[in-house]
This record gives sequence, C-alpha cells and structure tokens, in this order.
Amino acid sequence: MAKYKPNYDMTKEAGLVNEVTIEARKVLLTPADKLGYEHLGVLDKLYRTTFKTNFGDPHLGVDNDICKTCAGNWCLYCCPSQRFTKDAEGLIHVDYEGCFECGTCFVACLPKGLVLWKQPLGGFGVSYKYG
Amino acid sequence: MGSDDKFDVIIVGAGLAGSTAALVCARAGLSTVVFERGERPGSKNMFGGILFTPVINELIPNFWEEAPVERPIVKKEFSFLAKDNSLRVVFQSEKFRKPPYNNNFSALRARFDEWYAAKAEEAGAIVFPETVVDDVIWDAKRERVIGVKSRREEGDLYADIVIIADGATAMLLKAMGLRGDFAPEEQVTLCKEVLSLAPEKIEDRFAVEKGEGASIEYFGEAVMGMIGGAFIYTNKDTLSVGIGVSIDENLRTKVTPYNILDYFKSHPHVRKLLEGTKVEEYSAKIIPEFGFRKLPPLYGGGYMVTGDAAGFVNTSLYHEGSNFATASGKLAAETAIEAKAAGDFSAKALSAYRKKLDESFVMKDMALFQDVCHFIHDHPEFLTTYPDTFIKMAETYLTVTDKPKDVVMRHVVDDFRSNVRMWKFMMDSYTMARKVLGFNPLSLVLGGGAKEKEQG
Repeated sequence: MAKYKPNYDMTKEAGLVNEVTIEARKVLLTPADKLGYEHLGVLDKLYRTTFKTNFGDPHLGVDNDICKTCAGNWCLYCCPSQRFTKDAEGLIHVDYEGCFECGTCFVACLPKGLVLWKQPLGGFGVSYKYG
Repeated sequence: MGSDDKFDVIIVGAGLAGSTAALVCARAGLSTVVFERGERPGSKNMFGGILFTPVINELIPNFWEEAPVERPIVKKEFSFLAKDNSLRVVFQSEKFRKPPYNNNFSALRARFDEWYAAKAEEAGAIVFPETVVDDVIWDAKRERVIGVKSRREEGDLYADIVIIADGATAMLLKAMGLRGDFAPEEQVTLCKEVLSLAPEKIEDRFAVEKGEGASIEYFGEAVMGMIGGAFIYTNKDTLSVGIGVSIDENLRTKVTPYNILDYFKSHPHVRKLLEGTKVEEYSAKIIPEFGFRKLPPLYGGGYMVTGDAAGFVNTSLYHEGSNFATASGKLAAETAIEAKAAGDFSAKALSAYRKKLDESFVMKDMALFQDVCHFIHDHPEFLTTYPDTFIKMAETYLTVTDKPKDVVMRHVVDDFRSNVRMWKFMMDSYTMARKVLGFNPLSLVLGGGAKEKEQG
C-alpha cells in the first residue's frame, strides 16, 4: 500500500508575495539571451492563445476570509496561466480572463477559498486553434 | 429546444470519448445529441499530442487518409536528463512506417476533434456547440437520469441515456454528487506550447523521413527532478512541447508549471531542438491519475461515464489516454444500443458497460497500472537518484583519461555504490517492474505465457 503522506499543513509555510517568489524561481539552464528560440514570460504567452471573455460573468472567485487562513497560497504557484495574485495587503485576487479552465486550482485549493469554479458560458472562455 | 423533445442518447462533451460514442450510436440509428461547451467541437480540447488510434481505425478504416492528424510516430525516444548530461533510449521501426502506422499519430485536438465530431454528425448525430451542461435531470425517485440541464433558455433536454464525456474536470459528476474532491498528488497539470517550425527543419532535426514524426519523452531534470515528465512531439509544421507534473509537487516546491516548462526548454540538450521556434499557442489541462481504486461510479440508472471524466488514463510509460477514451466511448455506445433494443435503461441494464470495460484492455490496464502514481510518490528515487547515478556512471565510463580501464571501471562501480544501496535498488526495481512496467521479472525465467493469457 502507498506510504506517501503529503504534507499539506496550511499553517507551516509563510506566505510570500508571489511576484518576488515567482521571479526567484525563473531559473534557466541556458542564459536567456542564448536560448535561440522565442522565450516569452507566461503573461506574454497568454496573448498567443485565444480567449473569448464573458465580461461581467466571472467563472472563478475566491473568498478572502478563507484565503486569510491559508499560509500555503498554492493558487499562486499551481496555476499554469498565473491567474492568481496576492496584493500588498495579503489579499488574493483572481483574474478569470486568460483561464484555461484546466481545473488545477480547484485540485490545489485545499482550504476551499476558491468558492466559485464553474465552466464559462457556452462559447466563452479559452478557444484553442491548435489544442 | 423544447422540453417535449426526447432523444435516445445525450452525450455531454465532444471530445474523443463523446464523439466516438456519438458516432457509434448514430450509426446504429439512435437519435443522438452531443452538447459541447466550446464554440466548436475541439476548441476546448487539448492533450500532450499523441493520439492512439486502434478504435478510431476500426470505426473509420484508414482514417488517416482524411483526418487532420499530423505525423505518424515512427521513432520513440525516452530520455533521462541530468543537469549537464543525458542518457537516451531510442526505438525506431520500419514496421511503424507502414499502415496502420502503429496506430500512433501526433495530432492537435482543436483540428482533430472538429473533424471527428463532423464524422459523428455525418452519421446522423446532432452536435450543439456553445452549450454548457451544468447538471443532469433525475427521475422522481432519483434512481435514473432522464435528461440534462444546459445553461440555455429552456435548456432542459430529455433522453433515455446520458453518456458523460465532459473531460478531466468531471464537473458533471461533481454536480451529481458522484465524485469527491480530487487529491493534488493524484492529478497532474499538463502545460504545453505549440511551437512553429518548418517541416524540413523538423525532419532534419529529428532525423525522420518526409511526413514522418518522432516523439521524445523526458524524465528527471527535465522537470527539476519532480514527479512527472516532459515531452517533445513533432507535428506537421509545429512541435508540441510540454511538461506534466503532479500538482502536489507545485505545492511542495512552489515552482510554477510554466517555470518548469521554461527550465525544461532551456536544457542544453533540449534547447538545440527548439532553435528558431516561435510560440503559436500555450495551453493546459489536468490529467486524472487517481486510477483504478478511486474510479467514480461508471454507470447508474440512465447514465454512463467515459474517458477522462471516469479517470481512464494509463499513467505508466505508455502515457495513453486517447485510446481509453475512444474505447470507453465505443463500449458505452454499444451498451446504449443494447439497452435501447431491450427498452431497459436501469442501472442493472447499463451494468453491461462495466462488464464490457472489464473484458477490454481499458479496465485490465487500469487494474494493472493502478499503483503507478502511488509507487512513484513512494519511490521518487526512480526519477532522481537512480537515473542520475546511471548517467554519472555513463559519464565516468565514457570520459577519456590516461587511467587504465580497470581503474575506470572501479570508479564506475564506486559511482553506483556511493549513491545506491544494492539490495534496496534490487527490491525496488522488482516492484517497479511489476507496478510501473506491468510485468513480473520472474516471468523472464518462468515464462511469459502470452498465448495462454490471450486465449483466456
């Protein structure tokens, strides 16, 4: 039987402001100017994907009363399109425009501060050309 | 859509499972409706990039002549990366170059799924795009599903059978109360870039003939030693380049999926393959790896669950999902056809779906590989220490020096012994072979017995 016990103690990890942390994780094995291919930051990459945003009808939402109790702030690190940010006051913000609807955040958000996760209205949201 | 309409089958989701089910149902003359939330079938669909096609080829013989697949995969490479070194195993076959091309094609789902859904439409299925299904409609006793609630005006639609094929997020099962929360260690986030590259350059760089393709699976340092892997697949004039990492690894390390992807692409032995490429598209999905033990209810009164929604993926080295999706879609459709003929849509009648799955490779492989995800979490050294050690040994062995070779070999042995405990390694490898590769190493001595097994 599986022995693996994940450590999901939400009180252990001190919350870090994501901009700083994410900047620190941007390690490359070849210097950026010697890569030889187009190297884009995640937000620039998102412009290459088509999104049809249903403005005024967010399909993601967080409850900061719950997020306050979470020191892990995993939403900042798990989202492939960096939709979650933390401001100077420690509040979590989520921007639903540019969301892949992949579902990673609802898997990762164990304290359930992500109170809204639904599919966008039909025809809206991400629309892949390649897929 | 009036509420008076009643169909034989409603399928939720026009992915590989949904469109397969729609094709089979429509061909048998059942009135079939497919709901797809994307603006067109395929627009919400993505995967790594390799399509396994035994079922598709059975339903549409020689489908590759008309389908928008990219390249047949004639060359498969498995590559372990260390920071400065890499060790790779390449399999290339002349057999794979001939039809049916090992039923293995690179593909881009936005294109392929649109074509595939159109085949279902040709057969008589009705596809409603831009329609989200939020819940099912139960009968008064909540014993049988009798329709679906779509997010549209008068969006309720009724059917004898609902086939659930809404993908890995399985939101419909959640709405029905049939699945609990997903665990981060049992889900993988896959994120991928489609990179443009001229066809001739692809063929030169990957050393394949015109129109043919290669796949490379990477492990180890490719994903910073985390549980998961990376890949490069060749399409016609693009590359699919991506990583898949267990979500708990992002939580543990606080490294984001796109950081890992950037890191992988910048590896000196990967970078060169990507030279001159531009990002065409960036995409992501989750892969359900909870496996056989945590399967949701696969059928019940009036409904069946297929594909990723059911968690049908092979998480071993095969990285198969599309053939499970198509096979489960086909089996669900066959069950629906039988149920329609008998006029019985109860859970008992639809249990035939589970029986068909159990008899097919789908459930047999799900059972065989049920421990892969947990085994790797228990033994991450198979993705870190062990391959790193073998790469180090290879480096020592191949480094040219003026030392006599018996000294060099002693260094190689010391490389091994300083990093690996022999008994633990042997015991773990035995378990790894059984759980991840799916065979008992003792059978090498005792005999495989493939013929007897196949004849049952």
